[in-house]
Amino acid sequence: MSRPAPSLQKRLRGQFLLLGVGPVVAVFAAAWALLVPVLAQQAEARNSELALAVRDQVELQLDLRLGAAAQLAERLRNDPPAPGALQLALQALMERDPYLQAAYVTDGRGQVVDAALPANSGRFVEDVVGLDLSAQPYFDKARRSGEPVWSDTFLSTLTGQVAVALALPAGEQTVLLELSLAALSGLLVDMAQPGSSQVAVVDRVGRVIAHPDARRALQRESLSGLPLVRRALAGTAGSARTERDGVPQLAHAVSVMPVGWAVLVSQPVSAVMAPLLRLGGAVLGVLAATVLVAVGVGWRMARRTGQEVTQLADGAQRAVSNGGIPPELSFSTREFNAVWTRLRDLFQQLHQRDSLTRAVQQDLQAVLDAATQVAIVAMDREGGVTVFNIGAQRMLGWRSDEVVGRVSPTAWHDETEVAARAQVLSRKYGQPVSGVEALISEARHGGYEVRDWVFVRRDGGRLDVSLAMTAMRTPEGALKGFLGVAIDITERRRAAALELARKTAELANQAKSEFLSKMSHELRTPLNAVLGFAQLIEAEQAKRPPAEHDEHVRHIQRAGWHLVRLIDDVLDLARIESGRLAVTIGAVELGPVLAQAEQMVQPQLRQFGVSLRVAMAHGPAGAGLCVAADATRLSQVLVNLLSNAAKYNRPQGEVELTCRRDGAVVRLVVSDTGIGMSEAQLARLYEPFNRLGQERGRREGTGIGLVITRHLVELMHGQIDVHSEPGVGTRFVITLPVAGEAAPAEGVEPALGGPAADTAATGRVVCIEDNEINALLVRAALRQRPRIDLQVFGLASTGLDAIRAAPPDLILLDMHLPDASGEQVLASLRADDRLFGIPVVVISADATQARIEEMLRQGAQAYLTKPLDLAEALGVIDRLLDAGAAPAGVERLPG
Amino acid sequence: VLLGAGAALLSTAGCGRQEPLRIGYIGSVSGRTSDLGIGARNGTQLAVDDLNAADGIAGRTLELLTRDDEQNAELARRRLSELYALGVEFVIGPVTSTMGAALLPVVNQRRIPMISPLAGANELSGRDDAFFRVVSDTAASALQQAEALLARGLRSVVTVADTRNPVFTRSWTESASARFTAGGGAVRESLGFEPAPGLHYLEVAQRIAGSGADAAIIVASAADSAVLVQQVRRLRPPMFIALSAWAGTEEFPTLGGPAFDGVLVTQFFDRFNATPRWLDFVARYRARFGDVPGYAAMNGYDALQMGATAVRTAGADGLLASLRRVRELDGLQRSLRFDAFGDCLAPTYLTEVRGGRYVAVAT
Repeated sequence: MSRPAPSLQKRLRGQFLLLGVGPVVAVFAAAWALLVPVLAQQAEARNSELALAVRDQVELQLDLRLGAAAQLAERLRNDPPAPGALQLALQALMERDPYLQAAYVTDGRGQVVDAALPANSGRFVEDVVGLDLSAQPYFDKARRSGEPVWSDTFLSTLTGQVAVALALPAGEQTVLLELSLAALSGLLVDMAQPGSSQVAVVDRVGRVIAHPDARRALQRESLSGLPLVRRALAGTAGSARTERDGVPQLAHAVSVMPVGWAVLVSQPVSAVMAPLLRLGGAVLGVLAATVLVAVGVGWRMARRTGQEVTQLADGAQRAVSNGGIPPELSFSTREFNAVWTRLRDLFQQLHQRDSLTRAVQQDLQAVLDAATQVAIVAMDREGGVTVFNIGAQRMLGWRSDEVVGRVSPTAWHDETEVAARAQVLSRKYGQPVSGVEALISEARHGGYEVRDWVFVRRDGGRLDVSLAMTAMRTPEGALKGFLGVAIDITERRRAAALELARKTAELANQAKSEFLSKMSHELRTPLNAVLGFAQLIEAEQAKRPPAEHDEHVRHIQRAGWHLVRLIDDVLDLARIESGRLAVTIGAVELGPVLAQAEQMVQPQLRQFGVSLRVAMAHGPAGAGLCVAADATRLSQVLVNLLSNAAKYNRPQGEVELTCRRDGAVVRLVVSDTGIGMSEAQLARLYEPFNRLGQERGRREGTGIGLVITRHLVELMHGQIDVHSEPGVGTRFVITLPVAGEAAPAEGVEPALGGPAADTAATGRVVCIEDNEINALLVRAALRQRPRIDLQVFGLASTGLDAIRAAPPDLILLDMHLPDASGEQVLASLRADDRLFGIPVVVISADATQARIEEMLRQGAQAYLTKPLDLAEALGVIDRLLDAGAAPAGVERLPG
Repeated sequence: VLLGAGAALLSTAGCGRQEPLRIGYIGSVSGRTSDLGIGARNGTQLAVDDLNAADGIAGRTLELLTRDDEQNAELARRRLSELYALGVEFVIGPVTSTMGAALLPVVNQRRIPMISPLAGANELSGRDDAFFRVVSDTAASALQQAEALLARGLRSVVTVADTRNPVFTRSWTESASARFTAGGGAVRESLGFEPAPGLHYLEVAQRIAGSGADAAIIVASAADSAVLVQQVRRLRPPMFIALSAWAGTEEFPTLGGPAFDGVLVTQFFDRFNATPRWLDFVARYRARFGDVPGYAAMNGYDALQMGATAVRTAGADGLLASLRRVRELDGLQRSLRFDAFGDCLAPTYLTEVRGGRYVAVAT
């Protein structure tokens, strides 16, 4: 990685510092190093000179007073004056010296005998005369030594001035002078050199006693803390660097010998170094001037260059405003002219390219704008929206400026749908896919994807779209982004759904019409036989021999039973569709069931000229082989399949029923040599009422038999499979689980054909039935049992009254009576202790399983459905009457 | 560039150094009472030096800012305001009761504590204010003096007061007179004098001597007392003279010779104290200032220690409250006790001058 180029400004600044400021600073530093010692030396010399001068002056001042005192003492010793003359002499002394505060003469004991005070002091000699000065140390010392002695300095509380006293023995007497040191302060004012030198005179203990600022002397500041002062007080003069008032000083101190004082002269270091600081100031001045000049020159150059740059910028701006066409310009410098020429060329090239680009853009925009019914959304590589065309705006309710660069395309997708898609893609690519990646991943990997999605409009409305997502690539093949084009397929989908619903409804209607037509046909055919033969019997009763009558009666019966089967099938289908069809599964021995089925299809086999072969792989008649099933329903299944095999067979065709155990299951196979079915027919085999093209054929049927069959097999936990080939035949395979030992099969005993030969049944029977025909049928039927005494009642109330009056042996009860229901009558009977044990047989047209079970539970001994199988009905009656007074077992008979 | 760099260096050098703790001193450091003002200032300065040698207070060095009141009330108030403007924590001073009375209103207005080394007048006592002191009440000292006179069998006195320091002198003479009268004595005369140019000391002495009283109580400076005592003794040698503590300076005995013998001088401190601490203080004071410390120096030292103690223990309620909590202070010579008003309960001592020296008198 290359380092960024340094800024020109920074480089110029660095050079300025190096070449401009550097030498100046260096010169200043050198001057400092050379000049500091010299300046210090000079200052010391000046301090020393001044200190010696001050010391000389102080000594001179003291000597002057000492001389005056000595003169007076001499006179006192040699020529003692008279008191008046002494006073005059003292006054003369005071008048000559304004700094004398007092002049005394004491006697030998130290008492003031005469004194003089300054004329304007406001003090009086008589106050002083008589004062005892003997206790003053300097006085005592002078008296003892006979020499003049200077006192310690003291603050005169009389004058408020710092003073010093001189005692000079004069024979018995002593001359004392009090000198105000304000004299010295005044002297220092004159001597202190102009400038910053500070001068102070300190007394023996280091206290300031004279200072050009007299107030400092009055405050008696102590300088004894300065070693220089202490050395001077001890007699050693010297110089040192010290500090006064917090300011560093160069100082010199000398001692004033006669009094043990010292003179201190000092100068602040800053003052000493002032020349150097002035030099520094000058250097700074030069620096400032240099900077100023540089700034000035720079500013002027910048202004001139700036004007050219501004002109250049203006030209560029005008070129931009003018659609890329540059104006004619000329500059004062060759360089700028060259730059402008180059810029002009560039502008012209840009202008041409811009025109081209604009044309392309306009075309593209026109395309995008024209696509008002198609949403076009372009995205960058991360899925950020870059284009959102008018079609998209109309479709989704967002404005382009609200979406571009702001909203993810997932904003108008159904969240759940995107999440589900993301899961699928995550599995597919083995890495997590989420958010907008669910929309563009396929395009990213494979180049494009067309897929139906649900779009959610901004107002919450939803629409189905087909979205084509394409990856956009640069000419070099690098991924640039994605383009999504969506069309609204909501209407198309709605139309397709409507069409499907319409067709389904049409088919259903058609099937229903066909069913009705077929049912009408199917019902009319047996009714034709019933009514036709009944009329023949009536009309030809006298003419025809009884054998011919019998034949007619059989036709009537067959037609009637066919009608019953039709109704049963329709009821079964209704139960299947409502989910109410129930089976009772138990172990069922196959032998009897197969035999019964074989017997039951015999009429049809004969009708269609088809032969049946039953093969039991398990042994003759399937002895002992049991399946878990409902015996009745299994029989129904087999009859249905065998019936179909006969119906749709060829003349002299064959039907085969085989039974084979295969591990834990038994397979029952019904195969025929019939017309077979195509694939398409097989696919719709189990649709109710669909007769697979046999609607107009000669064979009877409703198209619900196989539907019932399959449901029954599945309810018995079995399975039905079909294999068929047109023109060859069809094979149904039923698989049922093997069961243990069988219970005795119900309802599989041979049907009771005609009236029993044994007519021994006897007893009194009450029948409550309001329908006269039905009542007639019962009477006619029971005529075959001449020993039965039958009474019939049309109302529940009359029937019950008769029963209570004389309890019968058996009661036959219809369910729908004008004044009560069958349940109510049964309940009344069961509630009466006398009637509780009388067997009741319900005879009803209501053949629903639930009703049958309900009545049996309430206490009915048998439930016979209409139309009555007379043989079966008589069988039940016989059995119940035979049972006599013994409690009857519950009898449940299928209708 | 150079200026900028210099400024940056200076500001960097300034970092990390704590601002000094500023303490004001106001007193008469010039003029006729400057002996007291300078003594107290020196004592205060020595205390500041001692504390700074021990790292100051909580790491902050102490800086003593001195102002001269020049015994002028107006000037004193102005100088005190200057100290306040400089941000002082508390002020030591003044040294006379008259200046104390003049500054009291300013002190109480600003609530910046003032601790006086010497202003003991009754007038300044018993106030719940910002004015504290390490000198005992003048009245107590005057009572002690009056009782000593009574004990000597003296039955009449004349009182003499310097009228330029009236707050102190009147307080002393009135308290002494009251006690003396209560003790059966009589006050013959109460004189006042102004020690200004034109004053005839001899005339004052003559009035004292001529009063016929057994004793004189002079309340004046050492120099004035010295002149009056000598003149009175010359005029009437047996007259007993008692001086206030104001006159009890180191120099006083040297100012009069044999005439001073028997003069009773009240002392604010124990001149004969020989505890190592006091002797050490005396030695250091001499080395530093060339003088022997008197009561002004001692009280200056103690006053600053009192302020420093309060600063150290000051809480959120401020220095004033902290000072009020100072009830005892280990002074240079003795333990000082303070009442709830910050007034000091310190003993005073009686001395007599004998042969140019003070000697202790049993009280």
